[in-house]
Amino acid sequence: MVDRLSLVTIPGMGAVSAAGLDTGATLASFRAELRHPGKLTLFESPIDCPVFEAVGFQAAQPYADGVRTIELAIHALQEALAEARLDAGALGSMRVGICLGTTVASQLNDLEFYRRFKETGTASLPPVRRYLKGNLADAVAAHLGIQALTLTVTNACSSGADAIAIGAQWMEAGLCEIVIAGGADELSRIPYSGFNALGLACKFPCTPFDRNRQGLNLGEGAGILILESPASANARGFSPRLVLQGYGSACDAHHLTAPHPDGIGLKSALSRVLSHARIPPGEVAFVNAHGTGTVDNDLIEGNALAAIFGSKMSILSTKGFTGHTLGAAGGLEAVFTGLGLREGWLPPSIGFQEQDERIPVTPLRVRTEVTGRFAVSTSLAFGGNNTALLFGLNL
Amino acid sequence: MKPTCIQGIGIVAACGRGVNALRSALHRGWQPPVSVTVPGGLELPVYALPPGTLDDKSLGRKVRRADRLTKIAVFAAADALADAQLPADLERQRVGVIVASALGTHKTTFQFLDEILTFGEAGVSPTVFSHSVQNAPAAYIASVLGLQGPVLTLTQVHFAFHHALILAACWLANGQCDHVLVGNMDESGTVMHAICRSLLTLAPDGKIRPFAFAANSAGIPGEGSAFLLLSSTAAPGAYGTVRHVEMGSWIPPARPPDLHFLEADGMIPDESGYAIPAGTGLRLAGYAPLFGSMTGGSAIGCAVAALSLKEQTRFASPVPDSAPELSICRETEAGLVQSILLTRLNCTGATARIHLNKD
Repeated sequence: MVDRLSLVTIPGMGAVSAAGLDTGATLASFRAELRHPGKLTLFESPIDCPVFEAVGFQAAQPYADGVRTIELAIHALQEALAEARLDAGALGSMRVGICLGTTVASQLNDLEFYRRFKETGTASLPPVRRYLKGNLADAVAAHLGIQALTLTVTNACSSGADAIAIGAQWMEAGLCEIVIAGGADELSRIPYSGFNALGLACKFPCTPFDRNRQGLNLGEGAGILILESPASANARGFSPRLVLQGYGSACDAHHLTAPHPDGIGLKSALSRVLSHARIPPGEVAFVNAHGTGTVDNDLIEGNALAAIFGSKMSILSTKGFTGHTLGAAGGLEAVFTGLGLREGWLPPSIGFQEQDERIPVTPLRVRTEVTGRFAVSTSLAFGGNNTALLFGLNL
Repeated sequence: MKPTCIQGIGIVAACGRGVNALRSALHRGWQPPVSVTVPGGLELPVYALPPGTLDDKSLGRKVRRADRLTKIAVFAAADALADAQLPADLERQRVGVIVASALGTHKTTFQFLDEILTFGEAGVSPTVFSHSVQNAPAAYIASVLGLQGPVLTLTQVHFAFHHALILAACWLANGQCDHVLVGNMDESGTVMHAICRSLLTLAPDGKIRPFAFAANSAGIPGEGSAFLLLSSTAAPGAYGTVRHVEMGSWIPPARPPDLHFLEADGMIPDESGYAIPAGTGLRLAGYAPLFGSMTGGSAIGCAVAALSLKEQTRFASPVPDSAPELSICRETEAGLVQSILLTRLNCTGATARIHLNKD
């Protein structure tokens, strides 16, 4: 493996989710230990499972075709750029990459388009053109009006984390000096009905890692990081404290919808990230786990984390605050991990009450001070891919 | 970008399945597309998989629940891995998979929408849903072939396969992987046929003309998948190397390649921009008339180029109609082929260029 990723700093982060419309509001929700699951309002459905909508979200500049995922991404991006003291003008003179993960925005899944096709046998072209123009990374580049290396990752629930890892890989390869990376997804009836059909949707607010957990709640949002080379940041007079220290991915190669019972892919991804970052497990202060609240995910993830880090590791799932935001999750949770390191405290793993004796790690029950410089965020995906990111704080 | 070695290729397309089918199609030359009837009774010419292409008793058992697109991708990927003849003790956690597509699992997504309309949201099939997720084909490739490295799917309208090649080179250069299976997949289906009928100008005689440089280009929809098994180190018997991939404005190559594949296939409405790269005096070839118009045609183009490099053969362009001043491969002939450039344009006028070398 190459040397540790000392070349990726994080000068800016942005987030929008049910936990808050920006990172400040998110921290306030975390501090108050408040979460806001509610009834679905964005579309009608006969399924009655709580969701985590980004209540109050309204795009400052509505995207031309009204694609909510793109609007969420641009909203989080604006916050990240502002913190990084960057704008489209500055980006225009830099070698920029845009790598974003999503699930629903990558599919030609317009129900009205298909209904009309079924009724008339003809394909209405505006939805097709909207899809072709609405590729997430390309749409963000077009919004900024810049030339960029663009890539949209559609790796299911690890998409956002994978996009951040790819951003780092582009920088390692010298392709970019700055990368906009993360994920975004809106609530959509496709996964809402699909997860219900799979028996993975919970009728109550989700309770990740809890003994009585009954599944996940879907959410929506976007989490964006600005990745920048130290040379570029220094040239701008910026010395970000937060850095991306490593990444690791590995596949279970086991099943389309179920994780490997021994968590082999996740353990391999964690070994890879620690090796890449050259950080021993004992130096990791906490893990922001994928923690969806499904029986299998939490059981297998909890055991894999204990195997790598030991049972005393501080872990939490923030999905109790946001729901499972699918392609956005890896981006949002990267932001939350960075906030935890920077702020020096973590919220409780909300929803967790009772220990599952089959899971050897115990999620945080109360707000907790962070004692350490390094933290890991994990993402597990449909199809068996597992991705881990390791963040560090420069002293 | 660090060069990567092409150790294996796999293809499933209108030519059939496998390297032998590809070679035969290149020698046979242009064949007319088949015709399908789209809703409303109109006929649509398509370059579809020949009947029986997906019949496979050994792999078929492992993908019996999978949708058609997944089978196409799995068979192409499996063939590329087998073609590479990697050692039996291959470290499978050191093999990555990257699957690129512009439209992905659209056929199964439409099937899921049909489930919603037919059975209601509370009555949809979980199997159809899970197969509609964009990374389902990549997940099958990993599980069928037992590959436990990083597995990634990317969905990109423009130059998806080129992005995948760049990323594969990153994975090999940074030591994450020793080998990466990288490919593209496209599938046609009833709804896509109707979209193509409305969106594409169809070539009236069924012939895609890569050298027409038409402002109102014409295509014929195609489908298929091609995979390359790329390795970080050169190996005996390899096809060649992917030396460089670049995107942006057209820049003439610093060293003229022996062959220049123009990937004009009627997918963009105005192909007049191909006249500029074509006008640089390089020896031209174009193979889209064999496979049809596809967003992922560059993967198949790379498979043709790899075969050309390995067998030191300049395959005839199947539809060489053009202005006579262009130098086009019109006959299949043996000859020195050390380097090949593949050029594709998108609808914004940007080009993507893949440079392949024999060594």
